[in-house]
Amino acid sequence: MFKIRLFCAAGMSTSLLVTKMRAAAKEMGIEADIEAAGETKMREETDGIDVALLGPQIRYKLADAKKICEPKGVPVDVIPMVDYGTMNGKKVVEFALKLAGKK
Amino acid sequence: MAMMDKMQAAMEATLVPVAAKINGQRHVAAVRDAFTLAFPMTLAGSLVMLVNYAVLDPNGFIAKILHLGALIPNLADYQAALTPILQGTTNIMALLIVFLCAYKLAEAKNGDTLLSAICAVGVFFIIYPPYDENGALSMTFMGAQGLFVAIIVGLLVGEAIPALSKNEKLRIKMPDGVPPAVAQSFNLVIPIIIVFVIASVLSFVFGNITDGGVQYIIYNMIQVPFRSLGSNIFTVLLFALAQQFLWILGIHGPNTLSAIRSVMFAEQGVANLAYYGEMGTTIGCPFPLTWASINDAFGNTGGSGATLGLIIAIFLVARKDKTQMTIAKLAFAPGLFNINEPLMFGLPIVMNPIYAIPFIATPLVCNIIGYLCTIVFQIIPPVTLDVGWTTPGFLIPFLGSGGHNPLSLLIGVLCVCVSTLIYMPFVRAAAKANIAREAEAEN
Repeated sequence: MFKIRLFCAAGMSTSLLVTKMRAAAKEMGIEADIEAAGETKMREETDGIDVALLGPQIRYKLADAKKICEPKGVPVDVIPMVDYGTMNGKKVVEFALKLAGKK
Repeated sequence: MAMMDKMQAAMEATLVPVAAKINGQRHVAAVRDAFTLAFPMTLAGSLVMLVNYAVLDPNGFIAKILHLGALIPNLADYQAALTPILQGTTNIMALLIVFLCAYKLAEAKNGDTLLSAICAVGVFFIIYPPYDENGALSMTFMGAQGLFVAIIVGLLVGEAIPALSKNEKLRIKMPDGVPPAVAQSFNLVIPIIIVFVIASVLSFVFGNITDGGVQYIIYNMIQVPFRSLGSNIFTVLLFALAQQFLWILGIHGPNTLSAIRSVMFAEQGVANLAYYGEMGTTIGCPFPLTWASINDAFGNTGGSGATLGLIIAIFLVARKDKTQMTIAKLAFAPGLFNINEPLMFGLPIVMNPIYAIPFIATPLVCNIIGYLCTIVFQIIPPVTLDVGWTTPGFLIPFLGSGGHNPLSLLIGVLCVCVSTLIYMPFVRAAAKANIAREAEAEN
């Protein structure tokens, strides 16, 4: 099971992307557990996951996110703006896989 | 495009780290998160009151539709069944905030979160205005009026408890036979005593040299001036301007500014809700002009930048532009609920010189319309009830004022029309550029 968590301001807009990512992962034959959350929940929500992604609107949070994620061995990065805007689920799943070093 | 890339790189290097610093600053973050976490409570209180007066008041809009007033005699008497909910939500806002501020700050400092939080609640009551002769404690400062003290106490205690508890010398040493859990519970006793004694002595001193003590001093000297600064159309417009500008740089504007905005407008929102709970109308409320009553009500339909108008403008004049049409179709459903990230990053609006102007101008114009209608000419009631930021924007002026005046609904729709008109020429220009580029790519 490949666990991805997405974070944005309130977890609203990333939840849109999550639906698209789930569909894309299914199509790609990947068993994935993908959820969105507000950035205030980052501490609790990053336990035991494979990769954490930030919405581009909170990319200034990346340094903080790294402080939380790196001790847990969780890679974290900001979703590319264009893929986020066009809600390109497949590309973001690929981005996550690459980040986790699975591809 | 090369110039925009360069500008973007420059912004990334200068402004983004500044925004990051402000957002990451642990006290700012603690205040912001505290208000974010308490928000469902005020929203719940607000929605219950809205329903209460819409259904259980013979003049409420749902009661009118269903003719409840004629069916049930003394309908209004039943309002008392739900009004106490305010006592558990807005009327204890300061209590919630003092707890949450300390909790979040202690968390950032890797301290004991729950203990810091309950200590902060303790300190809040230690410095609270004393019991009266009947042994009763006044509710005055547990709600909106106590918010500043709550924030200050929450931050000080959230800072002090984790710091003191790290000091080895302040730990009570237990003999070896004592179970670790018991020993642990003694570790924080001295820090707690230190914090409580300082709070109590300070409160005693202030109580003796001034009239009313800490709560009154902070309320009158800090909270009141800060509040008046907020209840001003220029402050609201300035916040809108700053937020839109941050978005253009690709930074979540509302989120970045939320700490200062919550502090500045919290009392007004809570006081307005209490007024509605008592009177059943927003007319005559203590603070008709706040961020929520102007920007959230009139300038935010579709999300920051009032972008529902942008989507409609694309549907109207950019049907031949495949790029914009794809994004607009994708963005329409979330846009109805004021979520517009697909537009922000898809069109994109971020770092886009064409859309920067209408994106900044539209909410300002809509805010001024709202200001004129509710404050200057008072043709519709002030929009002071919180109905949640994901309520379709054009409904907020109507629902957020208790659903009394159909004209409110009309003004909400008017704002969408105005924003559509402002965006239209820019959509046309962007479409022209996109179509030319696509044709070029094909050749």
